[in-house]
Amino acid sequence: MANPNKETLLEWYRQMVLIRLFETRCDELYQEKKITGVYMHLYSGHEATGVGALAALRPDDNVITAYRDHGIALAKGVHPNPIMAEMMGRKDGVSGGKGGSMHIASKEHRMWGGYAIVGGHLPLAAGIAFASKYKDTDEVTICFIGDGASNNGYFHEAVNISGAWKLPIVWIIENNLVAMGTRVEDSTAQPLLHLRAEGYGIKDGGRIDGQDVMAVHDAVSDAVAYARKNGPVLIESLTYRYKGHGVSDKSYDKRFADELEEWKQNRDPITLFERVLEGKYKNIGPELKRIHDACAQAVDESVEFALNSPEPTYDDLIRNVYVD
Amino acid sequence: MMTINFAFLALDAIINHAAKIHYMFDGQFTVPLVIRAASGWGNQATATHSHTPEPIFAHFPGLYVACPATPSDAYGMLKASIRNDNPILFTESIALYPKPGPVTEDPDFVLPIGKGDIKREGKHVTLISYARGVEWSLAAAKELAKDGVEAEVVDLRWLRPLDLDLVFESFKKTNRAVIVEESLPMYSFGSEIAAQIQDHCFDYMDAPIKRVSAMDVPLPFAREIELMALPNVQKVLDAVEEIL
Repeated sequence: MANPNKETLLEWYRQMVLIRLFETRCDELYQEKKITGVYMHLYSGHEATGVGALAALRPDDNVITAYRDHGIALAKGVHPNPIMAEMMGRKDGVSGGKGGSMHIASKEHRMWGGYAIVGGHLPLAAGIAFASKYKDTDEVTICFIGDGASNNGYFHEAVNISGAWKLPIVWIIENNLVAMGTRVEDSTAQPLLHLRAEGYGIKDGGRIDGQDVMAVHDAVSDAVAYARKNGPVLIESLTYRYKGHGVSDKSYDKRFADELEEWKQNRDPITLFERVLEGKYKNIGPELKRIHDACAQAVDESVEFALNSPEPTYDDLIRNVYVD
Repeated sequence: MMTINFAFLALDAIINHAAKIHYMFDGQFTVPLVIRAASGWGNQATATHSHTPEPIFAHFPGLYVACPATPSDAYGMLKASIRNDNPILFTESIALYPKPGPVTEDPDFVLPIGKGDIKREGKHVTLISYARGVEWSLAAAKELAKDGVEAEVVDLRWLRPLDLDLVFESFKKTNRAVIVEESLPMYSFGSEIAAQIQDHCFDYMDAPIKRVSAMDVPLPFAREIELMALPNVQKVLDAVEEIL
């Protein structure tokens, strides 16, 4: 069992607050039509899973995820400025404004991206883990998967081969109970998704409380250590998203209103963690407030940075179709 | 992969991922991938196992598509593909596998990506093709020569990048063209080449551009009608006759 010190815990708190404020601001910017397009998938509600899991990695370890990716990029240490610029389709965005919200990547941070086809990144994750093994490094890859994607054919192909080849990978299903608008139990006969590990001959990391950053960190740390030596682990992290599947999903808040309110009131990952910190350290309140304010300022700066970044040009349109 | 027919199951991985990743993340990642696939009709392999879908893949920017017609070209093009950092679909005609040809022993023999080749020079008509179509075109050119018709055979070798300059150069000399392809006729290699010629060489056109391709049906099992649906040398000769 890891025993993180105060500094580490406050860093996790900072990341969770930064993600929440960043996502909340993105939502506002979308309403203001400063962020445009039909897709934007917010990570609000999931913070403890992303932050706790990535805190278990080394800087040279890898992460890859689907389109709910801004929070993951922030948790892997990518600066908010180029992420926000990408949200707005600007030249200084992480992907030069050509990827948009669903394609946030940073090679430098070993954040291999955001991918927009459900399940499409799972074979890529297996490929990254294969490369680590083939090149005889001891890097580990974490691949986040939605509960919906766990029923996609890619899941079977990628998780199966990871087991057969004993790849250094931790598959984390972020089970937020609803795939777009379909509840897990309506699409899946066995709703305990982590049990699938046995069928692939890989380690079952169990179902964990995805709202408890310390629990996530503990479980994923064990899984990463195991993956580094032995091979894949499958973890199911139980969480909840606070907004619709994406910005085009307008019915979620109403359809699941009671359940959503229950999670926000009693299982909010940031509130829960604040209580832990307050119990652990006397008079931590002002320090948490300072962290919160610094995150708010970082988000303000990212918006300013993005708004001041130029639009991509014709040269950007035609660049990087091929490697020269 | 064993044959290209199985590539349909992997279309998302090839087109939505391999072909897009370099662009989508603005150059952060490369996908140095060569997918070798046997392509074309086998002996009564039936509808699901008789595809030549190279043009479908060539539709998408981000992929290169290689379609060699001779053993030597296959060697030089495969070397080039492996040494290139782009994702490349490298198709090999099943029907050409048993046809031997000279191949250099030089391990650094590399043919440039996107460069076609004149497989036979001529001045009366241009036969434009790739892969197995080149074999039919060369056989047809040999037949035509008996009647004093000199057909030029353009082997494009690559569907992407497409060596249009070579096509235009030849067409401006012969003013007539027949496009020969093993693949299907709708939204095809032939459609693209014909459109490009009329756009760029309109003043040089002495006749309609003709196309010889597979018939617009799924391929059946029965030998007699399977052969009926495929291109052959006679169909090329007939098309040439129509425009001479």
